[in-house]
Amino acid sequence: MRQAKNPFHELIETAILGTDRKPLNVILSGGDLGNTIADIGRQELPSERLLIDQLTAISIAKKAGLIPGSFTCAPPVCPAEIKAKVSECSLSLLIQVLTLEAKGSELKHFKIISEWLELCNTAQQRLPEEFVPRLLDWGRTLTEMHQLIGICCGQHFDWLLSLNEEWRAAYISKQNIDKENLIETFETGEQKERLMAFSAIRNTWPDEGLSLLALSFEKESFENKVAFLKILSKTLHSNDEGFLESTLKDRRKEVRAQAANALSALPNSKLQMRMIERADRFLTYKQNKIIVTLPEELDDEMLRDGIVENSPIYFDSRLGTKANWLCQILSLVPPSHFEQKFNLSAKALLEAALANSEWSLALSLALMAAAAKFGGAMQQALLQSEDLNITDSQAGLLLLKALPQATLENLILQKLPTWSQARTISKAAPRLDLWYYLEQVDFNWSEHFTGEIMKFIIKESREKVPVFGHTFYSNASNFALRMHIVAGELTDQINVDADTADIYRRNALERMTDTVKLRYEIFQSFNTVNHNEQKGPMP
Amino acid sequence: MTFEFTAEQVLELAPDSAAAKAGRDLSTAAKWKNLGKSGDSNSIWGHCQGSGSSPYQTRADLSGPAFKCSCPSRKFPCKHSLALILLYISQGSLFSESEIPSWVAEWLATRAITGTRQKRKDDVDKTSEQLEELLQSKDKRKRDRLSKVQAGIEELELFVIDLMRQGIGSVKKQPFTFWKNRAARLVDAQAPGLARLISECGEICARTHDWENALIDKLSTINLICRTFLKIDQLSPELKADVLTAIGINQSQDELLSGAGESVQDLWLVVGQYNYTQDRLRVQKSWLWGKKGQSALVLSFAHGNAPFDVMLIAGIFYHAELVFYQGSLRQRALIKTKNSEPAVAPFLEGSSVDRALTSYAEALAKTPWLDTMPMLLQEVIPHKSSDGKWWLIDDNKSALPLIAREEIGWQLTSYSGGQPLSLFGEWDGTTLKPLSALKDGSYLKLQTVEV
Repeated sequence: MRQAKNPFHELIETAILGTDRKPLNVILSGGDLGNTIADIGRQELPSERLLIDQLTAISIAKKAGLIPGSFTCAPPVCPAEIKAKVSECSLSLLIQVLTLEAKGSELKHFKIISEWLELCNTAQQRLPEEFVPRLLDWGRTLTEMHQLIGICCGQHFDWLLSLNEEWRAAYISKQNIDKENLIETFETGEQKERLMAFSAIRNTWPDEGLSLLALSFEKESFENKVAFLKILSKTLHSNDEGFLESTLKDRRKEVRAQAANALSALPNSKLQMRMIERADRFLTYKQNKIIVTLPEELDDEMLRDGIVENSPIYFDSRLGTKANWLCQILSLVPPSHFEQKFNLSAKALLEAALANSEWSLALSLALMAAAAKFGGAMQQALLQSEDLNITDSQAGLLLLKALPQATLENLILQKLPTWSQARTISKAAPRLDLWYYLEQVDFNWSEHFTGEIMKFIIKESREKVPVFGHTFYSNASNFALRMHIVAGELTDQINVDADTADIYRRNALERMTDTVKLRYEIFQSFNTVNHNEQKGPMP
Repeated sequence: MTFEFTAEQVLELAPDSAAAKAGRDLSTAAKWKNLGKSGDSNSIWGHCQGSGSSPYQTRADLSGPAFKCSCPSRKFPCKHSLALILLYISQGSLFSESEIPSWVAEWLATRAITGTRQKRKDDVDKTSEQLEELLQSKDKRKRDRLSKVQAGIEELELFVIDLMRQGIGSVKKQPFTFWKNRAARLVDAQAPGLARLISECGEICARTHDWENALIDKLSTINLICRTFLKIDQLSPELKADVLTAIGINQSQDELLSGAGESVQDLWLVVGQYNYTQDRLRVQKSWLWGKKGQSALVLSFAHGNAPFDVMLIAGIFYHAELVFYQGSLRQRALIKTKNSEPAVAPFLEGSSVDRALTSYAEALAKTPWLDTMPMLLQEVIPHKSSDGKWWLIDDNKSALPLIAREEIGWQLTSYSGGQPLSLFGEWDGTTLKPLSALKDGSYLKLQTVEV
């Protein structure tokens, strides 16, 4: 049996189709609305006029007679917060950072927000509950921040995660994932997930990680192969040698180079032995000099061991291709091998290498790269040499990057007086060297080091010597992020004078001081009672 | 000194995000000199070193707030004015109580004189003949306009009848110009309110879901206004005022302020506020809630980067005298005088969901074309149902649907912590747009998307 249509729906249908196609023929009665519509329908008016009037009556009745929804169960209640909220000032600064939208400032956001969270945690305070969702959204993909975010969000963290599936997936599943899930992710996940899963497996179950990689390696793209080998290199074991040796047969030179790099770091690996054997053929010591015999050709064995036609690390217009091969071979041999072989101290070995005027450049580059990789006494010898300019080459920068932070900071502080000799040095270039060194110092500069560098910058800004240069301009914000918070007390002494400074220098100095000030303000906000708190809460 | 703004509230006054950022950047002690304050006049001041040779003189009257700066910026408030107040909020101790400098005193005096002058503007002596002439020309203009509106409405009725004949299904694929042209004709007929409703029909047709019912509702509203206008001589003064307002014939602010409108003196909280753009005009919609239980809508307008003509900050209490526009619901109002007040204990009493819906039905009975109505719901809990919709549930488990972006929904949920709170919003007959929440004496402004 055909079900009778709802007369109200009939009216709406007529409105959609039009009275030309569906004549108005609805009979309504009963109820206030039905009677009203029936009354309208009885008027002597054109059907279109009746239709719109009847629709109007329904429209108003619908709005006026809305029945509220009904819920039988209420959502759960969040447990009471124990920690106090952060101050208005601290919160305002966090919002300021979260609303920064400049492109390329993600690192800045990340660093400053993580610093804010650290301070919040230390102060045993929490984010006001109304801002928790915003922070949860911000930190969704930043797994390394999840724990800190959780602490700073107080009880609302777990409570909100229990209500929001997306946050739950982002914040909980990855923390408590088990081995089977990791393996499944490695086997079936997206590229980024696979890399993360492999890293996690490798850190906890190194042998299983190796077996998994060995099984899938052949089918991987060369980019993946390189990425997995990089992860493998971070936690090398002697058990890995067999697999790494097998990867030296790969068709792609990038994969071979990465495998060779990993193998050379394994003490007494077969690759290291082969490299030592090669190096011994090319280097001899006579009359306080290292004598060099260049490789004649890049044979298959060398190619297999990751030596490439021209490595960009040793690229220099003064070096030929064969010298480049030699550099690559020597860089994979611990300098201590030659110290023992020639019975020389590291300093004497370096002097002997530099004594060969023809090949001193190639040898110094190779020694710098080898010292970066293997450490040892050669590092100090290279750093103390007055004949070398470390920052002139990629190999030198690799060496600086490999130094422990304290060593590098001390080295820079030792050199600082030389760089600070204002006006006595006619050329500014040696002073620009500082910024190349600073680029290599990782985050969290020590308090003393920060103070000394700030004093140097203050002095330079006042003397208006144009020594800031491009490296400083492009790293100004980065330096500000790496500095100790004590820098905030000194920023006012930096001369950012609009009339005398060039625009690039001024912008860079402003960027640096603004970032330091922001960090300092955040620090201060957690350490002082601010104006608002004295006045009591807002209505 | 009475000043209870937060940094976020002050930044709401910024004409754009660039000014807000610049204001924040400048709000450090190092950029300022000669900072001072005067409790008597509720003012603060300072010198800010800008790119010019001499520092800018910046001063603010915190009771407004009102600002003045000697910088050449066309933005208002400028970054220096914003920075001065932000600095006062974050580091108030930098401002020492001192004698008002002449450049601040002069400005404060000018403000006082301007206020008086405005009041006296209309008191210019005119002869009785001149006044008679003015009244006659005003009446004539009014009659002319009403006859134009009548002609426009008769044409609009034919348009609606035609739509019913052809069916609204036929207009779904019409370009936006179909509605735009019709709206333009209504603008020509001096009925901008109806023109706006017609433009909204075009926007509804562009929707993919549930456009039919929404279009019928909108056309019904238009029909109701048109039919009521055609019987304008038979209406009560309140309903007459309502229908004229709906058509877009505004009541004269001068007349309202000089006694035509009902005046209410009270302590008001700016309980909800948002901005939107309408016909290239920036509009700020502020809902006020008085201690006596009355709500009021204050509209403020500005072109481009110009400041709004009325400066109100959400979450702030004002001792103010409001003058209401004539109408059945006493909804829209003008501010005659105002002074910001320090924090006072919250006094707002909202209603349950059932009571709020009943009030809405009563309001509809008075003004059936009512667009939105303010609702202050008490003891409600925000909740997301399994189908992804947001609701407000009260003690009786009655619920109202919310129209809110995900982030607003979650912000509200987190703010409530599963506990009841008071929520203020605009009810449009089907959904509630949340504008603010109140809990334990604190106020949370919710960010709405610009319409």
